[in-house]
Amino acid sequence: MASAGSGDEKAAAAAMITLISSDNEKFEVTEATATLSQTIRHMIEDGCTDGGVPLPNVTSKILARVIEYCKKHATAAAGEEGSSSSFSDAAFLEVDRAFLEELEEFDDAFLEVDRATLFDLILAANYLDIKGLLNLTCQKVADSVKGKTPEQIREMYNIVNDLTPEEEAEIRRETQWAFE
Amino acid sequence: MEAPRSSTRDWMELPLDALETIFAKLSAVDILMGAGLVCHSWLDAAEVPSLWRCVDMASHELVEHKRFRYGGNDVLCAMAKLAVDRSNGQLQEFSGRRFVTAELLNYIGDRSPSLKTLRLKSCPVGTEAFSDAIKKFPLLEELDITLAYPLRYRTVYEIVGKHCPHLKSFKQIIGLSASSDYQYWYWRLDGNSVQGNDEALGIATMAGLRSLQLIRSDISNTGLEAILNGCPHLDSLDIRQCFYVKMGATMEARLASLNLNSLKLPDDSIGGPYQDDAWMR
Repeated sequence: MASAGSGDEKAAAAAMITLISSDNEKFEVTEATATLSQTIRHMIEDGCTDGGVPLPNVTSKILARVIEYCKKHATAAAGEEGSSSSFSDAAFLEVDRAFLEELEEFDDAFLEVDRATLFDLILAANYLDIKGLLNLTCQKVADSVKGKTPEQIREMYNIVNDLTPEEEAEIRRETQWAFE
Repeated sequence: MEAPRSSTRDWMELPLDALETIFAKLSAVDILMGAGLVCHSWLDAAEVPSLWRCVDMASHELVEHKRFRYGGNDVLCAMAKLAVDRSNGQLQEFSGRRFVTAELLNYIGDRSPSLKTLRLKSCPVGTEAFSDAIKKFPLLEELDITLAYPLRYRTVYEIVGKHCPHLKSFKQIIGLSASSDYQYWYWRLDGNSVQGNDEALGIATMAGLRSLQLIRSDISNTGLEAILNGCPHLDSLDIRQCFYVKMGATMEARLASLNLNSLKLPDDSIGGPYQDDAWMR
């Protein structure tokens, strides 16, 4: 996608931001990539990103994955904007569909992680306020618990049942169908 | 599952925002029977009222499955009531099916003053009970009573028209076998039906309608004319398989003059008959 590349380069020329992981690794990213995070967007707006943005809650391993996601999605967004004027409607729709398909493939591959990584990605997406990433990762969890009983879900995610016997009795009364 | 289990992350500790995002992607049935009962923090997330603004109990496979088991409808009604309770008055959309009783409809009505959308496919609630309950939804904008034959009465529609002044969308589909299964319509010897046009006069009282889907009704041109006169804001009209509407130059000109955004005529395709039938059950 030539148009996607040029959009990225434009942004790159504009500004770079340094993100610093909890284990002190530095990541240089374009502003377009970084501002997919609402948290970082606000920091940029407030002018407090000089000297880098420390992210004490995010390890370098997870931050690298998050940046990978943001780069891809920022590129796609820039590509959509850049190409809309230079194609006929039909051609644009074609490019648009190709973009979306590529993005979907990327997202699918991105989600092929173990449960611990998935958990960390959800925490990071939540902390950095990246809506697309939060939706993507939470969808994976939602899909995995669909049609499952509470006990199956506890086993799957290693969750200890911390409901007191009284509470459980109360819930059983309220929601007896799940125990039938 | 290809992913190995992990004991190093505590899924009970997911922030409430994240849990809410997960639960927002689950159906009411899945939350009430599974994810919402896992542990304290997940239960807390499942009780957030905003999660219950839109309760769809029509499309979960279990809804169809349970129907055949003894007491299944009671279970589904109890679930729906708990969903209504949890919405804490914020319920805006409810979709149910055959399991919906008059009592449930009243329960929803008494606790959901801001309900905007009500879908009751194949709802068996009787004429009178429905007429009483529908008065409790003054803000209703969308009503779908597909295959709900006991409600195919002018009087019922008139009550809807009167008590739901904000109604913008109305949907009624009559099943392929309606005439043999139900005795709610009757044919005159000259081939014209009484029910359809009576139905049309009722729909004509829903003055604010923007969208009408009336499939396989036996309305004639007279009935359609009544609807077009009574509902001047119509923007979308779907009268597929209403074969008693005869398209001629006059009717075509009349419909063209309305500049509808979307128009589907009696002869327009409705999709594969078997597929269609399965979807409607």
